[in-house]
Amino acid sequence: MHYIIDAFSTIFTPMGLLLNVVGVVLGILFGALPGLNGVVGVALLLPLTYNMHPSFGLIMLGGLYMGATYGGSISAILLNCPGTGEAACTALNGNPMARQGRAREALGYSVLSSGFGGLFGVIIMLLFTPVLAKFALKFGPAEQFLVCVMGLAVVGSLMGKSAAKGFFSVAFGLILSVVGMDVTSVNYRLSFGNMHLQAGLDLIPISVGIFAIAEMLSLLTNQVTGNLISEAQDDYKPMAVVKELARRWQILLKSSIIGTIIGILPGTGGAIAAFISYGEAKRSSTERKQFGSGAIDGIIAPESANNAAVGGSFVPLLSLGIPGSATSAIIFGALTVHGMVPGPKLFNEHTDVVYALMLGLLLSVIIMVVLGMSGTRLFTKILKVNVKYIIPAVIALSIFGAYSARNSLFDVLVAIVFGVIGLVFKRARIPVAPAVLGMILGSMTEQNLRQSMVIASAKGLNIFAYIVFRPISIVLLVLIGLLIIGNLKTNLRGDE
Amino acid sequence: MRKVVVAILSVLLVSTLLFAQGRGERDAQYPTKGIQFIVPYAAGGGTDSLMRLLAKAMEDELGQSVTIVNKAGGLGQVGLTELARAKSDGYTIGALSNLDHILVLFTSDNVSYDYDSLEYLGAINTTANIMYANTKNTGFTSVEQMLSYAKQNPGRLTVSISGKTHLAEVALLEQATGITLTPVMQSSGNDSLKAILGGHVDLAVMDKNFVAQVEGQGVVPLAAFSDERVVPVTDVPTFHELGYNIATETYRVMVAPKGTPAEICTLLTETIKKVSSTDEFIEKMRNMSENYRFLDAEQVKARLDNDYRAVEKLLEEVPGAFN
Repeated sequence: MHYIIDAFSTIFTPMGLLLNVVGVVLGILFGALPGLNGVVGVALLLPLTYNMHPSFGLIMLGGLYMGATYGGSISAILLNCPGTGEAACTALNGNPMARQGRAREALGYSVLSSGFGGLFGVIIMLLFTPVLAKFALKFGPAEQFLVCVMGLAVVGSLMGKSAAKGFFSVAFGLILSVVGMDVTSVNYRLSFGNMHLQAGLDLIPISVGIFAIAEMLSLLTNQVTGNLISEAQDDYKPMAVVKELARRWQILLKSSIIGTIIGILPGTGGAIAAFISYGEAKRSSTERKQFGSGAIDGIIAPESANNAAVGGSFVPLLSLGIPGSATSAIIFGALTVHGMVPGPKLFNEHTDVVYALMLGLLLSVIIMVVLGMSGTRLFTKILKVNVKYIIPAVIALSIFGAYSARNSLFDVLVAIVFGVIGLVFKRARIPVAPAVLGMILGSMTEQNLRQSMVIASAKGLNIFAYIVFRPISIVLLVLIGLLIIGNLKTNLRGDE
Repeated sequence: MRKVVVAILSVLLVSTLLFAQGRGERDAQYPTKGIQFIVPYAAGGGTDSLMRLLAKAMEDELGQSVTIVNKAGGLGQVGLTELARAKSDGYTIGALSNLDHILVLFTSDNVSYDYDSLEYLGAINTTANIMYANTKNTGFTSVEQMLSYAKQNPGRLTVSISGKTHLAEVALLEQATGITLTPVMQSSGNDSLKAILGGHVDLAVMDKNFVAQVEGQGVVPLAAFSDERVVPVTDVPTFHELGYNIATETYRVMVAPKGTPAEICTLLTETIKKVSSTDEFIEKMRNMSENYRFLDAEQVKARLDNDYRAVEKLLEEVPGAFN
């Protein structure tokens, strides 16, 4: 108990508070700028933490991670430029809502559901880490493969009117994920002897291109002038947003649970959490007809899920030493530099630091919600800026972001090429979200399937039996079935 | 407000270009400007963490910034390609991991540099990989138990590995003992850890740092791929002392592009030696579970030559070792 009191006194010292606020503010900024994200932000700030007390360092990095996960939704909603996969789903409904003049309302839903999800994930982490870590270990290649299949089944919710175009888009993403070194056989595929392609395509330049640059090119070619949104009529009432959210507690809770679970599974992360909960929300929501044109459930489901995944991703990190996401992998480095070995002994040997991180994250969520709620007016000011300033600024930032992901000029080229591809997709009315989904899940799906095949054949088992006859697999198969049936029903009824 | 932020950022971005403009001539008092330090691996990994520590210390000593730039991909090939063709003026240096470097030279396509495209400045650490077993599933607590089972059941045992170095180590082990294992390739050491902790594979080849992490979780280290016992896990035997001559060792080498003036290379080696040999630095390395061992330019080249010949020999005897 005294550890909790100690931790509280650490996070509420002026230094602790300041670093937390700095972390969250930088996080929101990194998340909101297209092309930058939590991974980049945490990597940049990591060296600063070397000379800090580990608790303070972790408080700042945790705040940054939390803030960045929410920040992505700001540019997704206002500019239709989600910089990362995490906010890709949010743009689908958030931006249409903003275009209806309800930008502040959309931002309100986003920050409050992010806050709810964030709190949920952190509280679950606080209370159940050891149990959940054991659960996470049960997910072997077979189970992970089925989780990926479940993610891919979400494509049905993303494809809009034409199933053919949706499948084309996801197939395009899957092919992109194959480029580079095949992890299983250690051979290059689709690299055409090009060194840069051998290194594989990175998700950041592609999503920056296909979302942000394509959106700007589209504004250019449509010869949009003046403001993005003609008249931002605003009868925004924060209390009404809170009430609306409270009415939708079921979807918030469900998405937060999905987000936390996906976050706990090592190697996944907020983007997959957002996609799966978006698919599930669309399947079960009463406003499924409005999905794609400003559905509230379409904002709150992915936003609560991706922030819930933050807390979840710390579960395997703290208890087993296995990071649950790319960002927590870098935070791992912040622990080891102070000589702390993430794993079962961490809780006993460095209880103070672990609790400071966990409780610090709780405070980060609160800071994030306060900043996000009071910032809605400020953020929406960008809608009053003339597009002729917005277009070059977004393109410049996108190119900077694409470069900074791997410090590669080749990635800048990739971003530009995918900007053009994204524009073609828009013109041909092919949805881009499925392509990003395919790109995120492709290599993970393949690798887990092939690992299952290698292990099954070494043990003399049939691959089908190896994957299916496991308790978790059966549950996952049922969920996959439900998602597919739900999508088929909506599509057959034609009430997209 | 947002406009202001964007404007400030734009100005900052543009202003970095001013600094990017290098000076034409090499000043007598090298370094006169910031040094770019290419790490050919992703941020957050073992090489990256150690090099960030070193870069920080070099920065304090040299009085100029030493900026880590991560250029990950292809076992270091992407970053090293960039480094090999960078200006050899001492303002671009980098690091590599010995076996990855050599394996790329032997097995990758379109490598635009070769073994002699780099000046090898020195090394500051040494580490080794260890073979681990999941005791809950297999009952193995020693190499002998593992070998006798593997001999009776060829191909039955699955071993998690990540990267070509591990593949080479498994191939060397198979060659030395006559067993057959089934490698299960993972994307990272953490994925290997998860697979073996969860009992999804029987064995794993992972860094010595995982010994502390697996303690008390039903996973035990069997033996190290090294000729001497590895600090701090000195209770783990080596394959070498068990009678199998498979000693691979991993160390990170600081490098500069070929043609970097000898006096600059010497200065860099001396700087690395000076900043890394302080108690504080060694303590920080120990916190990261890194063992300090300084090798100067000549010593590191001799080590690399040895590794080079070992890989050459393996590929002569088992041409399919990496397929």
